[in-house]
Amino acid sequence: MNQNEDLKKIEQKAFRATYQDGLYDICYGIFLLAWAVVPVVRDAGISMFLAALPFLAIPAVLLLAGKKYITAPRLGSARYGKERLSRGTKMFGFGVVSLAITYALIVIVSVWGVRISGFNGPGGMTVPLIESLAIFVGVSVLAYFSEFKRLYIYAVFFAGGIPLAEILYSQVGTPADELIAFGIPAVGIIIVGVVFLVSFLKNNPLPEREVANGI
Amino acid sequence: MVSERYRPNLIDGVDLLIHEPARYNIMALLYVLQSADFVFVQKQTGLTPGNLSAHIRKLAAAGYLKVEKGFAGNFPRTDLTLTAEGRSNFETYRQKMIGALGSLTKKQ
Repeated sequence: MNQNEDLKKIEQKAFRATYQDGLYDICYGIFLLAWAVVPVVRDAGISMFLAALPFLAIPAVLLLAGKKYITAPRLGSARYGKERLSRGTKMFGFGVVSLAITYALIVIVSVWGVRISGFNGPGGMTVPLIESLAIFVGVSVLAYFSEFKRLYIYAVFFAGGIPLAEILYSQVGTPADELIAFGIPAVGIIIVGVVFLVSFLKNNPLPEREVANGI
Repeated sequence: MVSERYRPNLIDGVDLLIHEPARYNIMALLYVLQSADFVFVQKQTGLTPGNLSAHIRKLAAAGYLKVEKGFAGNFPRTDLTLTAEGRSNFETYRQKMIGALGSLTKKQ
């Protein structure tokens, strides 16, 4: 290992410290929970937008407030170098492209009725599998650029839930299919996040004012 | 007396202020970041607050570090940044150490 790799490891260790608090896990969990709960609420006659709103707003508020009031006072904060910023820009760019490709594929498959050896049609798996693959690739790339390793596992939950819901549909109907396919992994992810958060709070008590003040 | 031929002078001219392990860790961390606050550096290096303060004072006195005090809300905050001189001296230190350690042959 050369010295540049050592320095890279120091930077990575410092950056990855930001995931110790479990807040990202909780936010991804809540976001996945939306996929389980929104169909239930939608079936009750409430607009999907209104139903989905809390699941977008709560993670955003939790992340912003949590980082500011829980993480930063305990772990401190840092400004990262240009390479890290450029990684963030690449991640954003890929996210936009990935989203566009996903929607384009879904439109192509559903509107023009692309058939894959009779695997499509009502209850077919073509659209779910394409959605699943696109989501898996998108979330994995997000995990790669953000260096959030647990997100690779969550990518499997996000992506796997789509075909699983399709399979469960014929067994349990809707909205139980989505509740099971997305709800169970979502709760699991939230529990992992809470465990990390509790451990973070236990291991990193709030420093005294004198310590925060430094020298 | 050790003969001149065997004197280990491979790291002559190495900056001893940076060579001390705790200060090396502080410098290396700040070298890969734009800046960091006191608590962050303390958590990352694992030094006690008093020990870190002492090392920071030495590095700041040598002009390697810039220390800025402020507030994040009502909480005091001390920001640490490597100066251009500190960054350049750390780079020189790295090059010297790479040269010194690279010139050692493997034990047969």
